[in-house]
Amino acid sequence: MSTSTELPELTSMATAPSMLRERLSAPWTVIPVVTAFAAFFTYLNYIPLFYTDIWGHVAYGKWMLEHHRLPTEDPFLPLSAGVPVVDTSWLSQLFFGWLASVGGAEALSLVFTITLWCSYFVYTRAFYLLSGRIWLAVIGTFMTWFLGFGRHSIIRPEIFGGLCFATLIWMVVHGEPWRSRAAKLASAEGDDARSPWLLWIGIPVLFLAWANLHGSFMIGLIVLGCHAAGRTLQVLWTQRSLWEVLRDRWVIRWTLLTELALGATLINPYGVDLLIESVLFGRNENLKDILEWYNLKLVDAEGIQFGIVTLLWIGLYRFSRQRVSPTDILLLVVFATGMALVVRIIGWYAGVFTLCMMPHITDVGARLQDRWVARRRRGTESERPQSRRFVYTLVCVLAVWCAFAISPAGRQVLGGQPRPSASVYNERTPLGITEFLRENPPRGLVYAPQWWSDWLSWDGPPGIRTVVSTNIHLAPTRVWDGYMRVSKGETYWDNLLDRWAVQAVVVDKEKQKKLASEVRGSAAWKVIYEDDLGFIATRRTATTSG
Amino acid sequence: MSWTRRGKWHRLLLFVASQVIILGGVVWATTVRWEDRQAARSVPPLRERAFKLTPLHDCPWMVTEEQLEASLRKVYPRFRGPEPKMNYVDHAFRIWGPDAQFDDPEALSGAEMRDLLLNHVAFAKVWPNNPPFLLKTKTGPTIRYKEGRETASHIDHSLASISETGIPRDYPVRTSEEDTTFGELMQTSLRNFSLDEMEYEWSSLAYALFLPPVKSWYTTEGQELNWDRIADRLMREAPDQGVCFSQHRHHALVAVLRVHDELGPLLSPAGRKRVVAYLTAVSSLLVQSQHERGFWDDHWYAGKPPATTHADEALSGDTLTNRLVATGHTMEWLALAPEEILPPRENLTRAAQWIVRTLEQFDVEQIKGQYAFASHAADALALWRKTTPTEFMKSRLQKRQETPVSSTDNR
Repeated sequence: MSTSTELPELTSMATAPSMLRERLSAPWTVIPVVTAFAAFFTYLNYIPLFYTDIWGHVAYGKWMLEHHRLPTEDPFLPLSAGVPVVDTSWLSQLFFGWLASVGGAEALSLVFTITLWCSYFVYTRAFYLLSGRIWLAVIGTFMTWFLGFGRHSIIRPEIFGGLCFATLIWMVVHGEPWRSRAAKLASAEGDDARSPWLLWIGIPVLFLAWANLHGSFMIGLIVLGCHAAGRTLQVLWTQRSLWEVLRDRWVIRWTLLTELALGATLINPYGVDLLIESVLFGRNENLKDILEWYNLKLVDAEGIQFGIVTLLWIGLYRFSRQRVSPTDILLLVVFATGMALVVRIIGWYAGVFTLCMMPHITDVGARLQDRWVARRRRGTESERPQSRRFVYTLVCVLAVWCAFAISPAGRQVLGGQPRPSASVYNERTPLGITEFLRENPPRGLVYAPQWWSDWLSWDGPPGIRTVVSTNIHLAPTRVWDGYMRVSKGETYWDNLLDRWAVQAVVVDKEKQKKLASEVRGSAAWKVIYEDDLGFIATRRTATTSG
Repeated sequence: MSWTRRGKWHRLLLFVASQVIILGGVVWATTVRWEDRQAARSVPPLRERAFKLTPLHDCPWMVTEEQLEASLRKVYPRFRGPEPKMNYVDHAFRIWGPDAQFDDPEALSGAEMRDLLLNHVAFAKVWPNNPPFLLKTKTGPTIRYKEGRETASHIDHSLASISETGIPRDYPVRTSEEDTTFGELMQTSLRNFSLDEMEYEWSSLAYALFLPPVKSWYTTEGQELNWDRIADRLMREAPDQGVCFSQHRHHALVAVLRVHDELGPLLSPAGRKRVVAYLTAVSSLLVQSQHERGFWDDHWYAGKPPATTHADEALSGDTLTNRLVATGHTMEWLALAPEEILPPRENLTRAAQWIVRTLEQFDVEQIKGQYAFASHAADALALWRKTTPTEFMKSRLQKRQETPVSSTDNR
């Protein structure tokens, strides 16, 4: 009796690990993907913190935590006093401020790594849904990364906007049945292949968060609007009836979803003002002097990237047998136009471009793969099933572990030595200048390059105030014009410093060569500190304002 | 079947109605908010008439009536004829005002000066071949400046000078292209003003005299202005910075303080304290830096009297001009300042007597060369007698008419 009962137990005990092993087995094709993503994590974690606006965001966050309110004007720029602030990134800044206070620079670096990694992971998932093949999804993700390369390496609230954008792309793909390769394969190209509850709940929640994290939520609204307009055009084109447009379920859905998203964005500390500010932001005249707000030039890096993907676009349309939807055309035209006008749109264009190209990449890629597989199998008798092995899973785990162990975050967790400052911060961060200023605090206003001013506010002596910062839009036009003239060392640069009652000048030796030579040659200023990056000069005769 | 169709109709109607409500609501809310923002950013209203700063102190020992008359006669606006320098007309009008009449045919009356400044037809008669003094621009009617003898010397200088005479807001102005009002000129200035303007002293003065006690307003750069901010701007730069050795900054600060004290709060309590502390510090520096002969020069902030050199005896040249500029302007704003700010009377008397002696030694032609500076100095003397140049000369001329006169008297 006992024997008969023991046998099945033994059998089940023996099979449990093997079943588990089987369930945890993976095909070998997963190894390069997991390894790539693990390596990507390590790479991101090694990117030093940039020296520009992140420190302004952190300083804003710290200010909010200290004052328990949102700033109504810039707390660090006396010349911008009275310019109202609609802080479109208040939630991100609050998070950064808190993070920096509990974990310092390494914590910021880790959040940057995780956010960006998650963004690309979500893209990969969305592109996998579109293509049904992991290698095509990885190609799509790589294309997104390549096109937006210039904008991904700086930690700023925009990274949260990027994550929201990737999530929106995933929601769109997940919600729209005809986008999904899986749905196509199941011949479920109808209206209601799946319930779009994810959209009805997910989109308002997403936009609520997005609107409070970063001003780029307008980009998301445009994506949704393009879907509503694109679907409308599609129905109008195929049915030739306005009545059918009004009856189309997806026209109604996308329209209501756009409105729902718009409504969700109004839940923020500024209400409608946030929308108005987000629309008007790009019109600020000061931005004309900032590289990322320039028009697209084909000779620049972004122009070359744009040229390459446009050639790819033409090639894919030539060889793809997929239909081109009006929504995709609308998205591509709107975002390409936006990028032509303002080059910083390239980060968003990257996601949209891949979303629109993925069906064609899938079509062409799948055919190429099928042809390649067929050629390899010629002569072999039978189809070899793709083997799944537990050892492949272990290799994946090992890759993840190795990547984590050698990353700065992993080294800290595993008790290794923390990175030296020179590795945590970008090499052009003026660490020496702020150290000197902390020991010798300037008495009045400091003129510093805008790209260093935020760092000075964060790492300099308490209460240090600069002429402008990376909050360029908050500088009154004349202050900004004056700042630019001084930065270029133009005539009357010293008169402008007098006008602002500036007591100390910080000069970037590489980017402000003319100003550097003017300050050195001036009888009114003397250099009191210098290192490889820049120098500090103060007035020879201290002037008092009042 | 019919129920289903009716249901579809209902859904459709519901969708269309919801769109009307949602889109209408969004458009309405955005429009209302936008209009609120625009209204908040519109230029502030103006007083019906500019506030006129009246003199506060009568110190007969500083300057006698005879000395005052002699000094004022030196600064008669003898600009009749073609191509008068508009900067001088400007300066003359601010001290003499619109009611001035002179016993000198070469001198323009107050009304004539006002016409030259505010009526293009009168201006074109004396400057027929030059671009107009009053212009129409994209932002509104305005006054040309820093473009030659036929223009004002500084941005908003004419606006401030004319405001100092207490002109009404609706006073008619004729530009080369349209008929407008003085209020419109002010509004153009308000629209164009920036706190980071290179010269802001006259704009601040004009606004102090013309704006009712508004809490704040916005510049077109989107910066919210209030009087604390403007006062801080006036006090921001080092003492050696600013036109006429920065004395116009002090003049504007005194105007802000006076309007605050007499017409209603412009400054916050802390702001007023800062202004008084600043002007008191200036006053203290003036005491320390005054030359024993009574004048100040371009180093009035040095905290020690100017060294006496051979050049002290000079009656012309930059040294004398600098002294006239510094002493004349200083004495003028001090005459308008409240008692709490003033230096001791002894210092003021020495300065007044230096002005009297200096103007005495200038002949009319020399005065013409530096009319602007001399006008401030002569005006200061009148203000320290708690009168204005026009009021004083009117009474002197009347007295003379009442007493038997010789046949050589002016007619």
